[in-house]
Amino acid sequence: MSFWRVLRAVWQNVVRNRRSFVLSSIGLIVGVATLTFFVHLGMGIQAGVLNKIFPVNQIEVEPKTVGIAGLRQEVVEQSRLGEDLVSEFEKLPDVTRVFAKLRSKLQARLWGGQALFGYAARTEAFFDGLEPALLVDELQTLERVDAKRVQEAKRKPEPCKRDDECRLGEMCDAGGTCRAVEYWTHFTDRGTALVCADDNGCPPDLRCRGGLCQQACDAQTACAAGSVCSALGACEPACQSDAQCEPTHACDAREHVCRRLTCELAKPEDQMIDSPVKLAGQLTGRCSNGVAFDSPACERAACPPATYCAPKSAVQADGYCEYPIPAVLSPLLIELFNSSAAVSLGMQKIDGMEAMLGMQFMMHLGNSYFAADLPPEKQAVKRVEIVGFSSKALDFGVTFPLAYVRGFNARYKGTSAAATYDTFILETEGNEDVSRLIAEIDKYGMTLSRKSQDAQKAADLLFILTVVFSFISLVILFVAGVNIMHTFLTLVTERRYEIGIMRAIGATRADIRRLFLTEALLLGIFGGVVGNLLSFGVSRGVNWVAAKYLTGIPFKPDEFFAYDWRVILGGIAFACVFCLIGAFIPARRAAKLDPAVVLSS
Amino acid sequence: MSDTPPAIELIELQKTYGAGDTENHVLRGVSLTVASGEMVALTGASGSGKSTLLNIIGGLDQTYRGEARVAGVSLSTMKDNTLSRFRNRTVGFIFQQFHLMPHLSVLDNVMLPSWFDPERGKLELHQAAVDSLAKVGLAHKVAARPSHLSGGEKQRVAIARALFNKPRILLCDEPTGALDSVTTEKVFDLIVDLNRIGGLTVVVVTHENDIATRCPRRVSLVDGRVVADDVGGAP
Repeated sequence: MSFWRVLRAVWQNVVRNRRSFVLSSIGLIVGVATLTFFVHLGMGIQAGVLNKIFPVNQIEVEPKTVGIAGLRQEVVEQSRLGEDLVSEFEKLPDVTRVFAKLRSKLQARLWGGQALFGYAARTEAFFDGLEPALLVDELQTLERVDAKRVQEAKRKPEPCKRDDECRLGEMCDAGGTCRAVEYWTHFTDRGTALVCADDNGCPPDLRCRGGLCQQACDAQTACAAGSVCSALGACEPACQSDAQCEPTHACDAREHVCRRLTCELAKPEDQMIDSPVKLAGQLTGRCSNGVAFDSPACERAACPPATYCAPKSAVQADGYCEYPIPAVLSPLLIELFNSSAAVSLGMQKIDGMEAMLGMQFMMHLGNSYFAADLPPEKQAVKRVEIVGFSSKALDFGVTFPLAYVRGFNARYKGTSAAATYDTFILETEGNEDVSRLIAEIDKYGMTLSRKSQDAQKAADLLFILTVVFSFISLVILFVAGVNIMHTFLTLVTERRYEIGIMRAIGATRADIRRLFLTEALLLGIFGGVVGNLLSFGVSRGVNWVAAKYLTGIPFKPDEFFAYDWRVILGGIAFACVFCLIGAFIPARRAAKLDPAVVLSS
Repeated sequence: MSDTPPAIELIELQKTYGAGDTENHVLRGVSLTVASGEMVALTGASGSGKSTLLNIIGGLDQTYRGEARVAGVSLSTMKDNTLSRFRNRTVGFIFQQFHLMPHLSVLDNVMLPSWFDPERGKLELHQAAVDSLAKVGLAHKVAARPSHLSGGEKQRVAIARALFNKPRILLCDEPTGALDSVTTEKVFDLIVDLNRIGGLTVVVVTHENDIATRCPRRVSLVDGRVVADDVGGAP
């Protein structure tokens, strides 16, 4: 029998027995729907949640510790955890990029958040530094999602002249309208004036020149293109006018290099007050109306927009114009705050993480609730701006770009505190065998960090759950297969005369078998396709319900399911296989039917 | 006629069901030769082995001892494929219960043999089916369903189906057993014409004397043996 002939004959049979066809496909539909639903859900959770919290291709490693007399002691010397180790890790097979992570080595306090909490919150600040390149993708993706929500509100553009005329999270653009700030672009080394007394107070690659840590140069060493070796012995950007410098810099008229704008507050105490007006400071030696500085008509200029005046120490009024330090928070922190702290402290809950973007806090370096304070002239107050959320951020603290933490560690604990790192994040090609990489890093006295170990456990758990649910759906499919066997045995009995007559007019045993198996295959395809449609419909429903009723949960993905055509085809294939297994015995019985016996009876 | 081999040649056919005490001899050495173009009635009481003989001739039953040559070929050792092809091309069957496919139209029922014969073109098939139906006088019922036909019409459709592949031998198992006397006449006239005018070799299994006496040759079976083989005397 030709393929098309078989198909036509089978189709005629299906149309004839459509009710039993549909009834016997119900088990298949449910089985395939369950199978594809849970596999897609597992994959969606893996992609949408797990990979965001613990990216599979990024594992964090830290020095191994051993317990000695009740204290945890690292087995590798701290001095080994420097740039050399980074380049050695980069040479490991499968590793594509290595990111160093540095913890703060100094005490600090944080306060602010009046607008968000209702009153200023105070806390000890723990912070660490991460390379911005590790986070930008994540920050950007999360913020895009938030930006979409803002657009959905469909507000009219509001005219403005200055940033503070716009709402929080917006800035005044060149066209004079308020527009959403892309905060993720802020998470980079925007520069901080690292005040120093001598070289041991600057990061290893910088020297103390002119009271600031700078790239040193002399007759032998050249500066990078665009920079010149100035009279201070530091590489400074060359310029002819202010416009060629960063907004926080101005062109020195004599040396033609960009120098940080110096400013001063009315009095040193002003830096402790969270007031944008007072922190704007006044530039030293500049008038905003262009008249000579010593003229009585001089209106003192303030630090450029988006910057503030950061004094050199807590007791000085003079300092430099700086951008706030960009900070990233862990969503876990928000969740914990909302679920426990806000309730017990009677504070307002944070409604969605995007509400915190652009918020500024004050950070008091060298001052602590727990440890002894440094002498006041060594303390400093800096502003911190929240620019995003990342699971890679410190769970109980804030995360800055690495350069800031290196600078602060050097300034307060000496150059050596900035020369080494604490943990490393290894980025791998894909989802490789992690255990092989762990064995490799073990040689360096390093091991998987707690967080990465949790990630492994979470991924394993998800895998097990997916396997369990897949197994359940296979059991459903098996039962459906048994049901199909029963249906087909009945069909063979019902059609025994037809089988007999077909045999009498030339059907071979193989033809008869083919007719029944093709009918089973058609049933499998039908059940598989409808099962997939059902699973798709239900998954859309789940997404819709989640979007409508589960709001304000950190890490809640917009999409719980990851659809894969291989899973869809696999579901159909499983349905077909179980149908064929179920129809195999009935088809064989039909083929073996003796036409002489059937037709004579 | 002496040049052409006999249409059917059966030599010492034996067939038993079961074994030991329950052994049941259905055929106890039947030898029979039917020449091409002959029309033979096989008669006998039920259980005499006449249907079994017909099934062996038609290639539906291979479990026997002895030799069965039909249209010049030996059937006992044929593979399923070849035997199916033999049934498809060389013989045509008609049954007491018609055995039409209830869900197919009359035309599709007639074309059923073509399902298992991939070598013929579709247009040609259609024409052949219409021709076949014309031969049995049902060209106007092409699109009808079997359930809308009378018993006689059903059997005529079955005949058209049997003729579809232009077989050499027509095997009829109680062809009029389910029909009333008037219809029986008409249907059997058709079978007789197929033999007389069409030159088809026809074997009719029947227990009706009226039918048997209208056949030029009558072979009687009793307990699996040929007890009489009368030629002539037909009306």
